[in-house]
Amino acid sequence: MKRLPGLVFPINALPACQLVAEGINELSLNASIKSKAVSRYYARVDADLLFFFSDIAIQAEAMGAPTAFHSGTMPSVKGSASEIRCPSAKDVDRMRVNAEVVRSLRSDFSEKMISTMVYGPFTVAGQVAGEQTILRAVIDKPTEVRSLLEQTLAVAQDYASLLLDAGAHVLWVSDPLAALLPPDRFTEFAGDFLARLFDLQPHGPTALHICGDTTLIIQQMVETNVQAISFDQCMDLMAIEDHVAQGVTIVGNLEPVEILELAPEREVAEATKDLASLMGVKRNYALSTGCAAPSSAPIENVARFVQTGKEAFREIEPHREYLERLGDCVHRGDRDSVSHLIQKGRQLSMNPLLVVNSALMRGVRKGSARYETRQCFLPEILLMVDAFYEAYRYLEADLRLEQDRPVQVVLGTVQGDIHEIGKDLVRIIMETNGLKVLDLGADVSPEEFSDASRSTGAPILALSAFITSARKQLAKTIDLVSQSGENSAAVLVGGAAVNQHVAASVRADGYAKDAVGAVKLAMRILTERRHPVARQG
Amino acid sequence: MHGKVESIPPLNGRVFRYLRVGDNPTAVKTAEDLWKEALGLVVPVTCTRWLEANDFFSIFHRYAQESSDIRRLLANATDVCLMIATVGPALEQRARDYLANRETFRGYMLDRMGSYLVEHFIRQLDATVERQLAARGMGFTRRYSPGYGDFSLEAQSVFVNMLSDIMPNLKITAHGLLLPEKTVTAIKAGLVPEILSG
Repeated sequence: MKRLPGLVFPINALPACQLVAEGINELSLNASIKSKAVSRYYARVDADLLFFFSDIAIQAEAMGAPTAFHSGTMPSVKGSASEIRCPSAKDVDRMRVNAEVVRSLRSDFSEKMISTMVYGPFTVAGQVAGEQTILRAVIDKPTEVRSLLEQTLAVAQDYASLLLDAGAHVLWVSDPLAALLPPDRFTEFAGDFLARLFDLQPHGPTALHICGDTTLIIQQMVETNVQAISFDQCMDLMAIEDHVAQGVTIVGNLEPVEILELAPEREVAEATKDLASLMGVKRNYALSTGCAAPSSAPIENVARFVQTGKEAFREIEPHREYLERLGDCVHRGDRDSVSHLIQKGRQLSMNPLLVVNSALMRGVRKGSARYETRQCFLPEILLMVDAFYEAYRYLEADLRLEQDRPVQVVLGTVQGDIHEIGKDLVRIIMETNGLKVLDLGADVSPEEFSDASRSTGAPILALSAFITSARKQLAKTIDLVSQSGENSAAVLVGGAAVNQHVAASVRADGYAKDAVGAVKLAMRILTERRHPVARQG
Repeated sequence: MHGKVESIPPLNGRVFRYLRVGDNPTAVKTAEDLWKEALGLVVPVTCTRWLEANDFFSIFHRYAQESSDIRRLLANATDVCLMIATVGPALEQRARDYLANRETFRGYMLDRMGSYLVEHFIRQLDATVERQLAARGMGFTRRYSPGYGDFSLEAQSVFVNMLSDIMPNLKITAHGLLLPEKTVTAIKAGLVPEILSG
């Protein structure tokens, strides 16, 4: 029986519509056209798990919700059903089309795993009855909601059975509306019904995707007995991985729009490598997108995502156990164990970059993720940083490329202020997160900041001020830097003398209240500056 | 007048909470070792100087006149006590050395311990001054430091001048920052009893 851990795949196959002349409306209704599209797609995208180009309207439409079809957009539900039907899946044209495509994929790609794409009972109930109506009814008419959910469950079970009988291996369920349920009502109105749906395949692979931030319902999702949970791109997998049982696969979560659709191919590869490096050491992880790849995502981007992900996994796999142990020691701040392990690892002649990315940086970034969710505090982060440097000093000489990287952040404490410790922490945590930093020290004049910013071309200037009298130096520095023109650096401010109000008054581009926040802000700015198109309009 | 440092605080729950060490065993053990190191490095010095209220306003002239908070605080004051506490430069230098050596946890923790200790000593001094005023049958204001409200940080330069005979190693930068950094200055005023009983 094939399993999900270790697989690489984008969710759904929507970009396949680019590979046939017919529009999405025709593709959605014709098995032959759809089979041709997805076969061509998977001939170019070497994914480990294949989907049949599914749209979210299919079950609601079958139950009576009016649905619109257009050439260039996905089918969409136009309103609630005036009369609710519960047809058999084999009698619904579009469901038979999808079953036919599953058979076709089994034939064309016999060695690959095929997935269903079934929509969860609560989501379909929302489409059939109206989303606001169903969410209100959860509170004031729960019996009626449960009655409707029995109907949508029956249709989902029948449709899933049709697809599994056609040869699909994985029962994949997507239930986006369930994310809007209060956590204390999730089990009653979504979880219990999902569990019954997953009972169709008690021993086979099952997966659940709920869009958005599912931090508060992870445990309830696990309790549906699903074997894999697919997480949205907004989730930090390292912050939640300890909350997912070892026997459940974590799936995700490359950004499908900003990266897969809008970024150049090179950056898709970088982002994929970054994600795969960090999560690939986990035994229970499958690399995928945070949600369905959009229909307009360049297919070469999708192909590159899969190719890069597989390469990263192949590099990690022989050393996975070692890397996981080392990363764990860094995360616990255990310098002695780190020192012992890193020396042992040097005898194995591993790629030092692999050790840095998949173990050392993983340990620190997991700490940062936990810090963001208040699971740990700054002193623990600093222990991790020290453990990082304990290992890094053995690898530094092997990492020649470090010296050639351009400076990304110019950092310093403003003129008149000699405080360094807070600023030093920002530098150290930035460096352990992979940023190249030029630290100008303390008591730095506006002219020195401006000169360094101009000469390095660094996209970020980070200013610290720890005494209130230094605030006016923030404004002077920012004014001087902004005079250098449209390519001037983004200015971040922080320190004990700074708050959001001060940052706004000096016209800074961003404010961070602590070192970990500064790194997050810097990473976001660097991403935005790489993708200016994504931010326009 | 030099104050006697009455006690060194133990490493207890209150200190751990201030330091935010958490329950990571490595963090706890290292913090315990660092506390001993911190106590070996600090050279706590506290002192006070008493002024009549009029003399305070005369000596602190510009800073006092510009601060409505100070005028309000000292409206009915008869005496003003200048207080200063420092732990000396050795601890903060060691913290910087740790950071320069990429021992981030130690550097940060030691720095935080220095902040905790200097606050502890100024609190002790404050309590002593309160006892002295109470013994004279007087009331007292809260402790107030340069940098609070509209009382300029640069008023610390007057403290340094006033106490240069007793604390010759105390310096101040051009922008009002004290050196050693782990130094706290404050004033506290004595109030006559009629004012208290209204």
